[in-house]
Amino acid sequence: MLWTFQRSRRLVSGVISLVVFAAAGVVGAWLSSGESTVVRLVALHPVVVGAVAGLASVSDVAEIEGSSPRPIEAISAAVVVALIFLGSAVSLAAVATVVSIVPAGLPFSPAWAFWMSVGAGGLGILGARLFGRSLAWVVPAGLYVPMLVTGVLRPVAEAETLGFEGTAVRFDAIPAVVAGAVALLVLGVASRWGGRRWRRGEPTSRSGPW
Amino acid sequence: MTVRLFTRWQRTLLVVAPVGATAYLYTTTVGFGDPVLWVRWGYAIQYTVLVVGPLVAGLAAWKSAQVGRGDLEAVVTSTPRPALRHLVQLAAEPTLWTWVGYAATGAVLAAVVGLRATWGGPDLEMMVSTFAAVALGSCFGTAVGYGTGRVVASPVAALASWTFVALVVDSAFDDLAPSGISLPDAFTVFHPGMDLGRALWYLAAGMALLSAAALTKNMGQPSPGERRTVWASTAVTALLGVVLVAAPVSRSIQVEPERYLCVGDPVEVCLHPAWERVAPAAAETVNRVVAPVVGLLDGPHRLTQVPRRTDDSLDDLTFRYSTGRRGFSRKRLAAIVARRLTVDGCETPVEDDPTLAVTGWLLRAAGFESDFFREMEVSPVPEEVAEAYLLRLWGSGTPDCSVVGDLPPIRPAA
Repeated sequence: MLWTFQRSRRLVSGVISLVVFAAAGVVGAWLSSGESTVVRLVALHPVVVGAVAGLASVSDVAEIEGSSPRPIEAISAAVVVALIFLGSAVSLAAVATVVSIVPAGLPFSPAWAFWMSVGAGGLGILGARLFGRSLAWVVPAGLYVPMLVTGVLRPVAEAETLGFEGTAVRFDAIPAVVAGAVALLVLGVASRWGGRRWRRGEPTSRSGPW
Repeated sequence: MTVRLFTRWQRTLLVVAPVGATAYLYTTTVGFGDPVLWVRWGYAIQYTVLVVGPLVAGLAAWKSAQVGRGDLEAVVTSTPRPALRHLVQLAAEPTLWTWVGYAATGAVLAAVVGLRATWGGPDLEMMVSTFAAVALGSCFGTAVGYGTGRVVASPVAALASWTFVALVVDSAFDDLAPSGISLPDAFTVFHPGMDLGRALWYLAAGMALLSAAALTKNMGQPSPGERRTVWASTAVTALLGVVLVAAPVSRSIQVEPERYLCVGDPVEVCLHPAWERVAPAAAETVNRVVAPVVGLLDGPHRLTQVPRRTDDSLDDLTFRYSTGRRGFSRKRLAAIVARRLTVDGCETPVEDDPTLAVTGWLLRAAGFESDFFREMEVSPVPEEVAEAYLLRLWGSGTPDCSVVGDLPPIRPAA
């Protein structure tokens, strides 16, 4: 039963993916003398958390589970939320390790990475609801795109040393990130498990709503 | 057979909209403040591939995974046409829709730039390599999706593509990346031919990936044509990859224009012709900053914008200023020129540099002080001290760098 539960939601492979991507960021920091590559790898981790959460939020055998007398939907929601917090903890640990290797290299803190991953997990669940679990990653990827285009990839302009206009953007507004992350997680969970949809039968959703 | 899994509006929403939104986001955050540069038009389009390419890879993987998963695989492999041709068709659809998005976005941006730019023209090579990079993303996604046929193919393809981007851009293999990350300025010229070479590499690599996927999943005996395609595309990919990585030319170079645009009085400010629209404001800003120095014996009579720092003669000073995402900034130009006048090639301490106080004084005298002293945590220097410093620095035949050591500390003693 437990094996079927985890296999239908790809929980083990999801956890492995979370650890592998985080390890890639840490190894990248260890090997790389440049900082931008490390930043990009570590910043990608919340998207992985979102993708894993999206995949885990829909079961391969949802119709069979729907007929189960046990309250499996509540367990399912709890497992996905726990998976999100596990992934967020991995994000936090990865960023904390990278910060110890490249002290001034990251434009964000471990706490920021943790809460971004929580928010991305919520968006992953929402993405699975909107587009199907295969395309669930599209929505949390929206968190990565602004980082790409607003300056994390870009070296700091030389004029910034004068305290004037620079091009680097820092992501340190922790209270706002915490509030946003919790809101996104609640939104994701409510979109998937809220209401009475489950009783009418959850679509197995290979290909989304169309 | 054409597999139709998207409706028209969904294709529009999922492909064209992200391309347009990304381009818009890019141009408004990094963008097109004056001086508007044609070189940044191509760069803006090309840079968005770092986001859009993996997105297309994920969408293509999602679509082709449904074929590879078995629902439609029997149909594909039982038809008389080779599997490779079906995969090319599968990869073509997301590619073409994204190209439509890029062409539309590129045309709109070209109209905006064409109306305001005063120098150069569109770099179509960059557009070609952008289109080819999109095709590579689609081919990669199609190969992963069809090859694995799994639900996870889509996120795996997208995240693998972003990881590739993260690792390659700004690394030793940067010449394989679809875009660089250093914002080009007016002096930047992209090497002719490099983008075409990259485009060819992307197309060959895409074809190699599709052929490999077709061969691994083909139930029957691969045709001689498929075998030839695999070998040819793999060979071209390897050869071009080595050439691109090993080529002793960088992605771009800095080139001085044939003539400068010189304006301003009493100090003449010579700028790149692309700066024509902001030249009067730049000249006025520079003259306000240099005013305390102009009357001195060897004060500068001309300031020239250069791509990189060069040796200066005392009466012909150079400065380097490439605009950021907000375009031309009087405050930033003033800071750069003030710094240049304060230091003039002298070596200064890395920490607690006392010349910063004189820089701040020059900015205050020119009306640009703003938050300089607070942001730099520098105590204001008395006017007589700043003037004495500048007089000694600029008043003799050669810069007297020993005056740097005579300046008071920038922070009061504890």
